[in-house]
Amino acid sequence: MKMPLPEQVRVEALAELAKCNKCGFCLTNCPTYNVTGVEWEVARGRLALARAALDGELQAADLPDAIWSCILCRNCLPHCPPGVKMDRVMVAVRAALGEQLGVSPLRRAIIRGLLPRRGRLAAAATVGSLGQGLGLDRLLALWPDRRLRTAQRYAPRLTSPASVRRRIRAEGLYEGGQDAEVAVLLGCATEMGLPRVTLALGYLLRELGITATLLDAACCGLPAYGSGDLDGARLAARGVLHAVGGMPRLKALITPCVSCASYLEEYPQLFAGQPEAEAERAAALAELIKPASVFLAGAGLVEMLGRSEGGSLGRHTFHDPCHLAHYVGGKEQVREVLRALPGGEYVEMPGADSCCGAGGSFVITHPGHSDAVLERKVASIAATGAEVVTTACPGCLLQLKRGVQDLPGVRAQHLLEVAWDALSAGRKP
Amino acid sequence: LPSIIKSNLTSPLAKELARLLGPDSVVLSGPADKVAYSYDAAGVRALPELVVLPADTTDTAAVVRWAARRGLPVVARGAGTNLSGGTVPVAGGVVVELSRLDRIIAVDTRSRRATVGPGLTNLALQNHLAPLRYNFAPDPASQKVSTIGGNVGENAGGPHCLKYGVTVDHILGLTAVLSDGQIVQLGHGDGLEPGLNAVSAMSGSEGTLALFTEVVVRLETAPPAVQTLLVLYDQLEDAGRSVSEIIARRILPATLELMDRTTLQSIEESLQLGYPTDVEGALLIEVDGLAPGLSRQVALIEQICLTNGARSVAAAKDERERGRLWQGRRAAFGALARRSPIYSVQDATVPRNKLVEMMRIVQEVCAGHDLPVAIVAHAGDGNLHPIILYGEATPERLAVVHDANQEILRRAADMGGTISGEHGVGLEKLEFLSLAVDRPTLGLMHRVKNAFDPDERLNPGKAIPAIPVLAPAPADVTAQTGMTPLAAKVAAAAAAGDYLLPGAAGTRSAWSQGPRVESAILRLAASPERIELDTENLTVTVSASTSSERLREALAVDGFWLPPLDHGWHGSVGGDVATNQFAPTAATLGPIARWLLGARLVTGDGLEVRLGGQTMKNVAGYNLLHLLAGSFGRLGAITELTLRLWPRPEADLTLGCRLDEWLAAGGSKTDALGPWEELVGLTRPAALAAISQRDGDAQVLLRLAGLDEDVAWAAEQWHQATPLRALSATQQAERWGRWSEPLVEAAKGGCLERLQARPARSVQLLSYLAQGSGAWATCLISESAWRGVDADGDQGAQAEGLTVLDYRRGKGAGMGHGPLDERLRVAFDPHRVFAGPGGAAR
Repeated sequence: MKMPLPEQVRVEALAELAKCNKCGFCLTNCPTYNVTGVEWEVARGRLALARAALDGELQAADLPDAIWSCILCRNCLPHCPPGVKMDRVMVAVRAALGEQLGVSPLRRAIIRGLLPRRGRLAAAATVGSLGQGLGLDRLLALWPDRRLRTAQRYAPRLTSPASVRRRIRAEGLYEGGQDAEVAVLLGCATEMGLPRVTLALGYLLRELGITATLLDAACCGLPAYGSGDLDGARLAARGVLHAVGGMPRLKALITPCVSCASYLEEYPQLFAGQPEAEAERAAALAELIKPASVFLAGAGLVEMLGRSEGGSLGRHTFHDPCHLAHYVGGKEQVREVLRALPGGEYVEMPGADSCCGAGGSFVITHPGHSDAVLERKVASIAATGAEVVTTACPGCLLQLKRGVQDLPGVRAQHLLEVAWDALSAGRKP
Repeated sequence: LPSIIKSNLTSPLAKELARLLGPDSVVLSGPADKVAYSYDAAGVRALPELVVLPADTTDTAAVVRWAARRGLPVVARGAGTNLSGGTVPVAGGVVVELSRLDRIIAVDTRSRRATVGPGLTNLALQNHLAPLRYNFAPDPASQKVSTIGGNVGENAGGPHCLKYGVTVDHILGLTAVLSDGQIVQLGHGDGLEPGLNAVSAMSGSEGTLALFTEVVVRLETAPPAVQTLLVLYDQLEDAGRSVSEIIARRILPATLELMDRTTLQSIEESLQLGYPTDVEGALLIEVDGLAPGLSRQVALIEQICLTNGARSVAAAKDERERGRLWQGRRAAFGALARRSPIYSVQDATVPRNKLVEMMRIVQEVCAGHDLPVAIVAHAGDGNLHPIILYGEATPERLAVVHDANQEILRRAADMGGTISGEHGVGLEKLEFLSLAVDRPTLGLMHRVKNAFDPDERLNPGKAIPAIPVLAPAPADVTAQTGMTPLAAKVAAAAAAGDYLLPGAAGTRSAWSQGPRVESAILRLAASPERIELDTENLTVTVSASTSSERLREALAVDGFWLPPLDHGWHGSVGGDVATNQFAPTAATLGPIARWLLGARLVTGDGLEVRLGGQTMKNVAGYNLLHLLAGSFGRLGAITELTLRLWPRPEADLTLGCRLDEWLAAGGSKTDALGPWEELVGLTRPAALAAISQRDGDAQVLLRLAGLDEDVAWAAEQWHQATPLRALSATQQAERWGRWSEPLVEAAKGGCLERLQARPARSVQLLSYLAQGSGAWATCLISESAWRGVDADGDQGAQAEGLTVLDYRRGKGAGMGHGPLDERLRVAFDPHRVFAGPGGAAR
């Protein structure tokens, strides 16, 4: 039996698949193959399985975890001479598998019922924060399931979004209102777990004289998309489209999460074949999205950092999130910021643009893979002798924080935090 | 790794196997597992029954032993980048995936070798060696992913083979698992040890003779200076003429890579590296060497290219630009896949001067079949890759492609070339093998296969076609029609149960195993001495009885150089090969095996076989050629040899000093090279040796050969750092002329000791040698030494750390030392015509 796929998706996936000539150049650059050494843990093998499934040679139930263990990091793409967009094929197959085998109710509840709804997300974060305060999360670590233990170690200290918004109002940040030219999409992880990043971005924008507005939106839709739940992805994406709907003068949509940024770029594809007005809005929005670090680099941050003095950052290095290096782009701009940080010495780590093993929910669904991939990343960080490792994605940041626990004297921070700390330190007498 | 991926045991067979293996090995047997291991980069598919990822040598052997019991085929696999279908399990059975054995087990720069797991990628090894200023010379374009084990299995080539040779030239040892599960250690020495070089026969055997679980590779010092040029042409012929003239002008670049228009366009579409798209072809030329002379060489190449019609010559400004140029070349196949993911790639090889002619033939043949084609070629070694972009795999289309390929390979073979230079025969070229390998030779290859894998379970259906084994000619047939007189004589000896010892002048017959009976010497000198020099292909073909001294002189007149002949022994070239003659350049530029391209041989049952050919690369069938080096006449009578040449160096200077001065200045109690390892890497001497006459006057000799300014600069470096001083021409000739003295002595009636000391460069070895009274010779950076001793003299070195191997009369110097010697010998000499009466180490 061939896998059920909408005809258009099927044709696209097959066309993409047909490009693979099995040269195997993907093998050395695949984070999961590097830690497992099994052929179906790399693009060539996953594509072969996908093809066999689409052709009916394999049944859906026969497919190993391989289809789900792809982190969608696209690290194979720059090394793939025929340029196979591996991630598209994986999502198409996941969608088909979801149709055929069903999606786990818990997963569905999270990606459709929780993440796209700010109210529920905020409530969940508040409850979670209370739970962590009471140490209840540590109970999870006692559970005999590695996934829960990993989740507990990965999860940030949750914050009630309401308290963060109160702080923002008190500081007078993000006061652009509906007429602002710049909107900020925080993304779920920043919103719930990294309040300092939210504040740092606000301070930096204010410092650069940019009036911006915080969007009243939650999830960008990427978790649903990565799970092959295209309807769920659209559900979330509509929330973002709705939030910017009332901003007539919008010129840029920025986010401290490069994963959100990368996914907004995919909106035109996601809404292809949907009602025309919606497809147009999705396409327009995709033109406006930029990672905050990249946007600020071009909006005067590099110069401002260059003018400031002081700071005691020391030796630091940067981990390129996959969504930055292999999706939206902007490695070079980010490095301009890094090199301009006062009081710091920037060192490039070996394999800076190879995955850290976070990959959204991957860290929870594949703790074994994730730990092994992270171990390599931590070794790269250690090789630089840096005291600080920065990055531009909340998911990577949480993973790195977990990883550097084994490296005494090393801390992981978001680039925006470090940039703000450097600026504010420079202003002190 | 094992904690992440668990075994998937869906069949009773899988469960049975898993029980035999350690917890770290993984067995996979599900439907998806089989799909994932059903292909390699060639596009053919077949499902295995099981996949095993063994964790170590022990488990690999256990799998093979179990498969033998179960009668299951075994296919060794690494990264699955094979381009001829070599790792596709066409007969089902067990795929043994060795990619997890990817450790760098040991790196020993002092002995210039590294021991690695077969699953280590070529590039990972290079990256590890680069900071140490060494490299592993073979660099196939797939080096980023292809594994060392795969490189050995295919006897892989790559761009740098032009100057540095192919994989077999750089493999010193193997840990092999035989078809019955037995684990054997092969080689592991410096390539000069006695016994048959079974490692060389394993190279290119495509997993059909044994599996490898550890590989000892030879390390080459990284070139101190490199320059890379991209030369653009509006006519392919101009590129071909440039290559010819570069060679004719006595320049030996490290690479000469040719890409045609379609390839260049595809690379640029795929990777945007700044490759031109409006030219007919481009040469990627890399020159390496010492810093002082490099710019003159580059300027000369530039001038040659421009006078031969190049549109432009651009040099890489830095390492990054160089990397970009190479990235494009290495991605060529994949980039073409962007145009047509379905393609066929061949690797026909022709004598290098016929390359452009061959490219035109490819274009004509493809045009005639209406097939789009792109060509990438290693122009320096005549190896070309026609990539037929045929779009869709319909039966009609495939038939047309097949016809075109057949025509291309036939034409290549007709030109004196071969059907596969580096991708292996695998599955795809089986039917074409007979175009390049004649029936007797194929018969010999089958015997070798039979000796190793009588049940045909190791990668069945690959490398050599499954035709019935050519049975040994019965010993009672004295002669057959069409036999040459020599073959008839061998057949007659077989019939009479006589013993034969091949020899020209018989100067080295003292080390034969049998008694030295004059009547037993098969006089090859009866065949006329013959020297055929191919100046454009940089090869020479000689009758085996040709005097090496005369060949050396003849080559010198025409401006060529064959370093392993510089040994001062008065014998034949055939004898040099048969005894693996120890030359001063052996440790630096390689023993004679590394210069060998082809040979004709009469086996013990009168088969007249042709091993290798005239091309720099040849992987058509098994590599039995290198077995001849050090075979001491036991495999057959060598009648003809083809060797590769280097241009004669502009300058050739020897520096010398007394050994005691050298050791005192070096100051190390253990390392004979003292503090000068880096200097060797920077100056790349042709030889660094120590010799002594009977009087105990031990000397260190350093030979520098190359461009005028390089040699002058290098001499100055050594002069400043060491007691070495330039010798006069007379002194040079006299000192090197004494190199073979221990052999001469031994041949006169004494005996020869061959000593081994590990690690290499042993001061202990030198002091042991210096204590004795016999003449001796050693390469300082190797672990081998030869010493003449009295027949009744002391029974060798008892000193710690030294191994003594006797080359005593009648003891049989050459054979019986390796675990596979007897298997190989029987395949060549079933009636023991060359084995000698009694005495054999069986």
